[in-house]
Amino acid sequence: MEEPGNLEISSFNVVGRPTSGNSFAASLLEIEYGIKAWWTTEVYLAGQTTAGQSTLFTGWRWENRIRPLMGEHWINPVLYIEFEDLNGADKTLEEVVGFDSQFDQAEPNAIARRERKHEFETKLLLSSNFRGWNVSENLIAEKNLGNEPWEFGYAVGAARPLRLKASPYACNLCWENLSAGVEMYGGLGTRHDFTLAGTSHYVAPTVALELPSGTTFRVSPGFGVTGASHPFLLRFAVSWEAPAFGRRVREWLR
Amino acid sequence: MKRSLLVLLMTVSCLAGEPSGSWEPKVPLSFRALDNPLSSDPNATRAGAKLFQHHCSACHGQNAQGIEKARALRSPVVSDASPGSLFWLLRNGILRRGMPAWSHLPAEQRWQIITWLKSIQ
Repeated sequence: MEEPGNLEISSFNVVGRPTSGNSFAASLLEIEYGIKAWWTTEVYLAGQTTAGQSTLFTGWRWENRIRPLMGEHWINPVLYIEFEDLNGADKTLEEVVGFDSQFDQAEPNAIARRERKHEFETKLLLSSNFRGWNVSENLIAEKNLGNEPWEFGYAVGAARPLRLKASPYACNLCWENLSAGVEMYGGLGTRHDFTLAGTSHYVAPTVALELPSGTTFRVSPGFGVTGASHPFLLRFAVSWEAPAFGRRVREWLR
Repeated sequence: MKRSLLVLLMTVSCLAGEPSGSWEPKVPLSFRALDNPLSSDPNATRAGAKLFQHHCSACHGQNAQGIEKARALRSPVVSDASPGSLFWLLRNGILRRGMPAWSHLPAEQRWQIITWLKSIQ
């Protein structure tokens, strides 16, 4: 969750190569704003480029995260509600649901872009903090607003700063700014066929570097563990945070 | 589908509307009694100052003087509060009043911030 009044601009990127298709790179530009301490809203713009084919804008998403419980608990739920208007050529792979597979990304852009996907997506994001570890468990439910069944997926992960105490000196490349962990994500089939069979799953170590300037770098090489998965996906992201953005805009407008 | 959405929105709005008064009476005794394990650490004050600038100064001001709705932290609210109560406050936040929860910061860093806050009173 973004702190209230803060604005964060992020670029989430993924590079992959389906076994039967061309290499691709996809990107999500995210603009996130903390409306309240318990409510964050985000807009995403998505695009991709596929080797030997084309580069195209694939659509947008608008999501809201709401923290329903005001206190801190062992497990802290966040409700995530999203509407997305994407075309079939979207390859951002922000989440894996249903029977998503590497073969979806093998379809040529010229054909895939004709499909429109208006989807409503909910997630139950659960997170816990214990002795410096941040553990998250996300359950995903996605509904195409056309006549398609609910699709399900999951993402679980754990990460920890490499040093829990901050050093007294200003530093960029120090252990307290670096965190490492591992995540696993994949599809769980649909309402009619809730299963692991035929779904794709990934295991991915994660490394993040959060600089005092508000810039954060994240890298996560993902390894597919089923036949439907991409053999390898490289996810990387850069985020930049503008603290007190809302207050500064109000002051500027006065 | 519409009915489920309505129930979800009503639940969220009820929970988000949970009344909250002053935070101190809410602090459990187990937290109030906590001592700051870093109070005698010579580096904790400087580290706490650095963490405050990074995480807190955008709302509370660079000198903790308070800005708009964010409280001044050079005040009896902080000086009179036990370290354990402040630790609870950083962990839980006061979400309805705009103070986020900082539970994702390691406990050691929260204690460093508290060490600095106590030092400036």
